[in-house]
Amino acid sequence: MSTVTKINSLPDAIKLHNLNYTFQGSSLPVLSIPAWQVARNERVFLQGESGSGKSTLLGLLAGLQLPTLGEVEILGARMSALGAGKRDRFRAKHLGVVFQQFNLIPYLSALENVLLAAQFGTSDRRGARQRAIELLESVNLPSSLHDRKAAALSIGQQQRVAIVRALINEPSLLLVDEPTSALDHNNRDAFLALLFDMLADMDCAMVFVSHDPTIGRLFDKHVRLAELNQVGGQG
Amino acid sequence: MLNFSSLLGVAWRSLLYRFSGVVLTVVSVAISVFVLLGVEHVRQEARNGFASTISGVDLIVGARTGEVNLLLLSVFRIGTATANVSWASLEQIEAQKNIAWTVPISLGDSHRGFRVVGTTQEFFTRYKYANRQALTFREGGQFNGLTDVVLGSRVAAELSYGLGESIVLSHGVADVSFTHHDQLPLTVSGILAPSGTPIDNALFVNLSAIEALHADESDRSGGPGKVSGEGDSHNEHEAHDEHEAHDEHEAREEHEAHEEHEAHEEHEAHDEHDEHEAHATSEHEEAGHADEEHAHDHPLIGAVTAVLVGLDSPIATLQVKRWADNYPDEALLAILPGVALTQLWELVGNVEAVLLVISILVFAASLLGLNAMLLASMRERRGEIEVLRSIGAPSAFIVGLLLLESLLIVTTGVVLAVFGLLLCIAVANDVLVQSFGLVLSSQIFSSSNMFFLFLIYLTTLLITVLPALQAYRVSKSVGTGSSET
Repeated sequence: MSTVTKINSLPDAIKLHNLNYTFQGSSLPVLSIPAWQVARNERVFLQGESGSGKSTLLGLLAGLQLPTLGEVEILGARMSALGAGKRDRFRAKHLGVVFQQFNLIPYLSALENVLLAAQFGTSDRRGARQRAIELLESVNLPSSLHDRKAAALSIGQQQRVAIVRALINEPSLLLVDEPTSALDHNNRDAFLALLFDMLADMDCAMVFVSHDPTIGRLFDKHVRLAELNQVGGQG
Repeated sequence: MLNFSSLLGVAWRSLLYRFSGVVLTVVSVAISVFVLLGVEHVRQEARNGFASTISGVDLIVGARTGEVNLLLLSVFRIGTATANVSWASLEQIEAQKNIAWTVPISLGDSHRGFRVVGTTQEFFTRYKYANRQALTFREGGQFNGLTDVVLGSRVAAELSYGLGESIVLSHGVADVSFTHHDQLPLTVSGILAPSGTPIDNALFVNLSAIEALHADESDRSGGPGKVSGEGDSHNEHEAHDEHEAHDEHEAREEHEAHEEHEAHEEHEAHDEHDEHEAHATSEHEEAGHADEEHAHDHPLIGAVTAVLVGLDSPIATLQVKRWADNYPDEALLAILPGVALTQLWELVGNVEAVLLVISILVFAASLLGLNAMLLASMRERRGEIEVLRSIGAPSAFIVGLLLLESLLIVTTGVVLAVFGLLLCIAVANDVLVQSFGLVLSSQIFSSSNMFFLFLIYLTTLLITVLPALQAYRVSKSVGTGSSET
């Protein structure tokens, strides 16, 4: 994959400093990461087994929760300095998230799912509609499927809608969590190809989390969560 | 920012998506609310119907007895008169200051189990029920001649009488009487519209007609009144066993014919009714009254059972009541119908308490059911909330969405229940009036019903907002649909 030139003046996409996360009521931390950076436009593969705290880490990166100790800085913004409402808005505008499954609101159509995300992230609703249709077509979803309920789409189709939904607000950071775990081999490769294709002409960093190291070779950078995380014995 | 129409659109699609579950929820809310509002409405209407049995009458004057007894007798026509109000007393009452009108009523005869009221034409204009509603005729009009009779709606319906029908009154109040006033058949001149009051169950004849019937009868039977000797009385007494309906009264009448000590022995022999003794005692005090020795339970010629009194000014009510209660020539009692109705309701109001308990139980059940359904749907929507959070939906959107859906469900249920109830009231009203004398108004939005609805909405709010907020806070990780690490 082509490496996009870094814009040095901009802050890192992700910057963790002395991050420590402990569940409420527990005395042992789940995550303890002294330092980690992801530069702008960098695509990082984060390998981690389930139970290794990767979902927690993604939650922290997405600003869904705050670290017990330390700092999470996303695109130069300190998450702990933002209130819950501001973090919601920040997430809507600047982050894209793709889960392994259940990415979409089942009763909304493919297009409506994308537009709902657009609604929270941009004020240009008319432009968003046009863009959403174009993006859906670019991930090989013909317009006949745009108005189909998400629940009526195949999982592969749902994951493609999820990419569009994550990218509709032109985020600067894309967080992807095992998006291929529910796909068969062919679909998985097609999905990954599509993902990189979509990102190719975007200024967007990506953290791709998976337990499957074979995906890692597609990435500039390959990190094992166990290496980052000082908490031992968790995986 | 938060766009309500988009919120409504999402909520609507969400409800459609879960259509069958939503329909079930709506129906169960509707049934709960229907039963709740219905029971509560019937409870209040029963109470109101009771309280509105009589209005527009300021005082009821009768022979001295209990207040509730007089009310039962004069308004509900339950029980029998212990004594009467003489014409002389009636004239004295009419002569009082502030008296606007008086309507005498005389009870004692019946027709196939329905009681006959002898009264004046003024009764139909003066007697009011509910909110000063006048009696209306469904067919025909009031009685004019001595041989006219007006039927209450239920009497006409149950006996299938029409205008012009010729009927014969019976002596006494038993269903089967041996004495019929068949020498004077009456013609139905009018049938009253249903009022949901005891008026529906009575026949109305001219007071003079009652007097004529009994004057005639007295003449024929040779007059067993004050002239009858001891032997006669004893003979009558022996006939009691076959003539149970008259038992109590004839026994009572006999006491008067006897010496006082004998009378007391008689009580012990006959007495099955607690009130009997009280009656007898008051009778004995009245022993000086010549007319009361007539051996019937209806008033004598020259006496009535009770008098309905209207006053010029309600301020005079207590003054006139005091005067009547202290009337020296006859032991009278004046009651305020409203007060006596309240007393009576306190006696029979257990029904209301039972309905109230049912209301509360239904209410608790509906709230629990509603809670269970909403909580179950909250659990199943955890994943959806996580998706919404991941695309940056503000908490207001998530809470607003769930709340809007709950409110739409509850409101649809409530609207269905309200229209269902109104429809049922409209359809069932005729039947209810005919069979139970219960008139249900369509004013179902009483303050207590509004309070119930308010509580329903309040709990809906709580059981939706609290789990929604909790779900918003809990969904901190991404991509799992559950709170796994």
